[in-house]
Amino acid sequence: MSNPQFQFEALVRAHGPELYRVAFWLCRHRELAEDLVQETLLRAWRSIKDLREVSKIKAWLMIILRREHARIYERKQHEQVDIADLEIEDMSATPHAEQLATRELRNALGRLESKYREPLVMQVLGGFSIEEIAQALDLTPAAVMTQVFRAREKLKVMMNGKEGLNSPEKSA
Amino acid sequence: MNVFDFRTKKPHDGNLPEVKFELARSAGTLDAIDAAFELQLRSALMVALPETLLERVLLAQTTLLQSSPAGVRQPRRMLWALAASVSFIALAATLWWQTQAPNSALLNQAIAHATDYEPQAIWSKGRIPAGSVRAVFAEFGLPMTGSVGAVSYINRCPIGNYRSIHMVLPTDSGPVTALYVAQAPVRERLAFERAASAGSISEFGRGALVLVGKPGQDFAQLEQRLKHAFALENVTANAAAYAADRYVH
Repeated sequence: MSNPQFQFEALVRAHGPELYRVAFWLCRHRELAEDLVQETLLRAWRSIKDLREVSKIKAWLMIILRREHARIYERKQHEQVDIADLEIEDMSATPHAEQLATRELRNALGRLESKYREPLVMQVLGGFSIEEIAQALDLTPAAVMTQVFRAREKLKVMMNGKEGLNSPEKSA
Repeated sequence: MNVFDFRTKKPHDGNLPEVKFELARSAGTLDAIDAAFELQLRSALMVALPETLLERVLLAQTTLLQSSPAGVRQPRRMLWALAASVSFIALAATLWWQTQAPNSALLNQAIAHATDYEPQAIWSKGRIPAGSVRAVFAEFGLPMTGSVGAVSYINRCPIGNYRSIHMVLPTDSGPVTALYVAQAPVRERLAFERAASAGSISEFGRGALVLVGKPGQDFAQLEQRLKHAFALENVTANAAAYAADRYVH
């Protein structure tokens, strides 16, 4: 196996899981998310020589993923999975009440508008900075900051209607 | 807290570590509420990773690598020579393929996929809902109108340069791998029997159906069942013609 082959395998193992989760929350469709991850990583492999800064590989992969998602959605709309049916990791050791709360939150995430969900997922799952998200989504950092804040507030409102200190209408 | 308070109070990004959560919770501050929410949020977003996803990506890349070695810059003259050689070999291979053994290459790739690349699939114990099976085939342009019977595994897999659907069908005589290979041409039905595996390849819609199992299993009956589920009986030979099949050893 050649050195580039090792590099690709390392890339897949390091970024594949994170890409899948971001892809899933982008499209809320398991099989489509798998296809997106495969296509993203293969495209990355084909043009890896164009990558100038290794430190920016995650942001680069995210840009490819979003483009692929947009490209697929131009062709057709996919049936979305029932979020409540999803398995989440490490739930066996989690108390029942927490499992319920997590399930409720997952449902709320599924109902959240994509303009709020996408930057939130990138921040929480991808660990991207506000500046990186702004660059990937072609927004200003201030706008991203506002969106991730509102996303959290909306989720809290959806979950119990009390915790959101700013209702979406008021904060808009 | 409003948007402007948030910007001043939360200059940092994203993930709050568990340690900070514990400290904040013990202090009973507003941050503890936020931290609890962050942990819950992260937990909710952590959907389970499909078991075979990473291997599937690596397999697809290996397949691509075999068909087009990317990333290696060859001198232009070498490339032309290589292109000419490849064209010649492809032409010769096509002629040979058309006259000699049209299905063998595809069959070999399909068997290799079932036995070498995803050997674990055959032991899957799950039951895939018919709706999921129908949805996958619909993506490939094949409307499923009947029942294919029990399915314990389904996945989209590359077979060479073809897209395919990989299924495992439990039967009374043991599990059988069924691969629908989209757009793969099949000139005639072919049954095969080798040392440890047996099966068949036949036309299926606009592609090929490859069945791989153990010697002695009733592939003809299974093939008929699958074709019936997709209303494809009229385009293929009936069971009586199977006796005339050519065998490859």
